[in-house]
Amino acid sequence: MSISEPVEKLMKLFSRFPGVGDKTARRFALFLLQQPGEFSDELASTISLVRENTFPCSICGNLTTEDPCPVCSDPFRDRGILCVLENVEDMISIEQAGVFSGLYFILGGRVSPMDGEDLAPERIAKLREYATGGGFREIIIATNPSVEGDLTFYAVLDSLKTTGLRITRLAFGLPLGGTIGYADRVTLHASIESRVDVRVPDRNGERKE
Amino acid sequence: MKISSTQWEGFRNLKPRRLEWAEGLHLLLGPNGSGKTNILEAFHVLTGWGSLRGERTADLRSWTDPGRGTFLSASFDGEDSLEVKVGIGARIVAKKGGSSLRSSQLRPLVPSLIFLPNDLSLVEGSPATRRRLIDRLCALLFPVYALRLHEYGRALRQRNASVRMGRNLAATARVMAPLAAWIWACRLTAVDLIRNGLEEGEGLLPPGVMLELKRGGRGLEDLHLDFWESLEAGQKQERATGVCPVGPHRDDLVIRFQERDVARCFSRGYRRRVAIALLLSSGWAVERKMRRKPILLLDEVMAELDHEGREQLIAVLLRTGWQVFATTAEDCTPDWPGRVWSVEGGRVDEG
Repeated sequence: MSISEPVEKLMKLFSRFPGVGDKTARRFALFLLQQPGEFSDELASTISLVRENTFPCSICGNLTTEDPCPVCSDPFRDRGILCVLENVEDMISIEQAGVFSGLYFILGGRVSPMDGEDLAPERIAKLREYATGGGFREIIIATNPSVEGDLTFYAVLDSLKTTGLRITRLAFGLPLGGTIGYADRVTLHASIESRVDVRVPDRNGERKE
Repeated sequence: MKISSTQWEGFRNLKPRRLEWAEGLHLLLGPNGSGKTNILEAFHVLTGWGSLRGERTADLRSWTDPGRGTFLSASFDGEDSLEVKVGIGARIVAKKGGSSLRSSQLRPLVPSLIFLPNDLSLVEGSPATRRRLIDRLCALLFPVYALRLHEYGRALRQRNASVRMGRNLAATARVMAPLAAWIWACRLTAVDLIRNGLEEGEGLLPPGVMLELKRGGRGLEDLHLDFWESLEAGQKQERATGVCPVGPHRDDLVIRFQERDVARCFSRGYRRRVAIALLLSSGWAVERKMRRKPILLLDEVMAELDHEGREQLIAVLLRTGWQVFATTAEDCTPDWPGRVWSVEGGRVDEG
């Protein structure tokens, strides 16, 4: 082998990252070795620091360096809506999009019996406790539109069904800003199947036609 | 639709070649191993389907020089006009008018139906063979069918895993029920269309061959209710075997003639005719619903029919006006009313 053992070990470590294959791992390792020593020192110390000081928020499960996390302690968030997500990555996507101002609850897993994955009972109990005692008017179960997402959705739904809260799920269909003419056949078919009743706004709010 | 020209390079054993194809019937004649089926496979890939040998499309390479790039392209004319280029390697690229297309988008634009030698045993073969015929038609007719069928298969595997682990089965039933009812509704429509199409194949079959979708449930009219009730009734069996006994994965296409099972009362030759008639009926269903003429790919079908069967099949094919590519190792059709291509060692020549 023409590559020294430590470099090879570094490549192997990089290749364990999600979405990183052998070639990208090699590029990462070689890039790192070509940078000044300060860069790798800073990277190593940041990784250690983040690892030592980051922990899940005791309320929502978000990764944070302070408890409660910035989202849970933000007084300007809408405390009436709770969005239940499978993982922190989904939460970051919604936060970065800036489309939701309520609070979150991270399940920290999904239901997939064939992969041996399930939701931790203590996490489900915690969600139920938070949902009933948190003064929420609506719970959004934001799981993925897949078989595993559906299984997770029903597991969460079952745990919340006796709370009497309004429970909703994310919609799917035509992309906003797009045109019907450019939508692919599968999206068009799914949009037609998930069509909704027309609601006409008037001075009294919205009226179902 | 019709294929007007094709070009291939580094594909299986085929020699690089650009070919012009007229509409109507084409016979690809050549000895075993000459590359006839590879030509059909190239058409299959170019119309949005995958390998005939169960390989990933990205692995479709040259047999003699696997390191070489593989490239397929075709022009299609007819109800629509489009160019398709498929570069096989790191990823597949199909394009129409400069825009990239996914295979699922390409398939309904250039609908093709293939009939392989294994499909000849469709009548007496396993239910899975008959479900494949319906599924292929459904995948062309209903845009989300392939996706929903895939999701149903995944939900079924999740349920079987739950059964083996002794878990609560309520959630998997709720995921499966809407998918099962939707798939059943599509399959019932497809079987209705195939049944209507059988009447068009006059001459190929005796009148009175009947088709029916035997659902993997109790057969209640309400499809949702049928799934739920059948699942409940089959729970004991499911716990004992560890396999879900109910749902579209247990469907079958029942083919009868005068109330008797065709697999038992028809001769081998007639069973072959029924199998071919079902494929042709799928073609008529495609034409009626999608308003596009399908491209028919027939691999070694002629040799399995007697002289009369071949003549009747050719007469029916001529009536359809579809573009047909049929392969044969022996020239059993001297009166072929279309073009004849000789295939030898991966080389294709007219004549």
